[in-house]
Amino acid sequence: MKYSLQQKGFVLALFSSFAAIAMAFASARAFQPEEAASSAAGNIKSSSGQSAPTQEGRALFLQNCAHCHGEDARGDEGPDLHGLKKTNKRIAKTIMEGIKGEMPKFGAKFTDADVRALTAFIRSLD
Amino acid sequence: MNSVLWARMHGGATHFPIALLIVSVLFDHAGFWWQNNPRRRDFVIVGFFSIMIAAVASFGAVLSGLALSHGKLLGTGAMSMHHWFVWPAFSALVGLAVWRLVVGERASRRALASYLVLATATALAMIIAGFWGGEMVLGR
Repeated sequence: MKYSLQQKGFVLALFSSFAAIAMAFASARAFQPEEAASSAAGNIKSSSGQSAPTQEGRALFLQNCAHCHGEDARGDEGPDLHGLKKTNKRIAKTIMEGIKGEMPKFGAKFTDADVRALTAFIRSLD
Repeated sequence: MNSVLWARMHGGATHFPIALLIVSVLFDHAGFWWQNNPRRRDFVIVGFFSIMIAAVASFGAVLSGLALSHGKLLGTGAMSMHHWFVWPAFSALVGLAVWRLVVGERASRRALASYLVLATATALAMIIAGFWGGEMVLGR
């Protein structure tokens, strides 16, 4: 059977697509820290027994903050948020205004209720 | 190397493939729809080289992104949204570039139309992935 150039191109393109994604997924292992598996089972996965604002805060945290602070809030790019020695006002201010060069500001994205929920969630990590 | 450096490298590396993919799609559309335009061949050449460079550059963007995220393939929240779009877009971009390289200018009009549909969808996926990447970095 003779294949046209376009058919050959299609098969090669398909193969290259899979090879590229396989290469990326395989190389991801080289960048994963050894404790990644254990941190994924962190203590914020379970929301049972938390108050409503804390659960809302947890959802907001996973959506907006977990990629820097880690899914278990034990720190990744950003610091560990457990047992913070800061007032609620200071935590809210940091969320709203960010930290120059380190953390983006969320003042225009979050409502006051969102910030209160996030603060309640961070406090629940104490 | 620390995360701030990787963040800057990813930020720098990722904009080239996004911009070049968009440029490639626009010029390929121009070449496809304006068949009688004297510049048609120039449009096609720009489209070809743009997607070639975009595909090669996308490997740098992917590797710096993996370094920045410590090898996370999905993550949660904004990062998972970023990855849901970026992985298919990266895979499709490489496939499109290889098809273009193999077939060159010998593609039929129907095959070119299919290519353009997929390239446009890939560019849209890449733009959405870029939006979620920005959401992580900029907050607002």
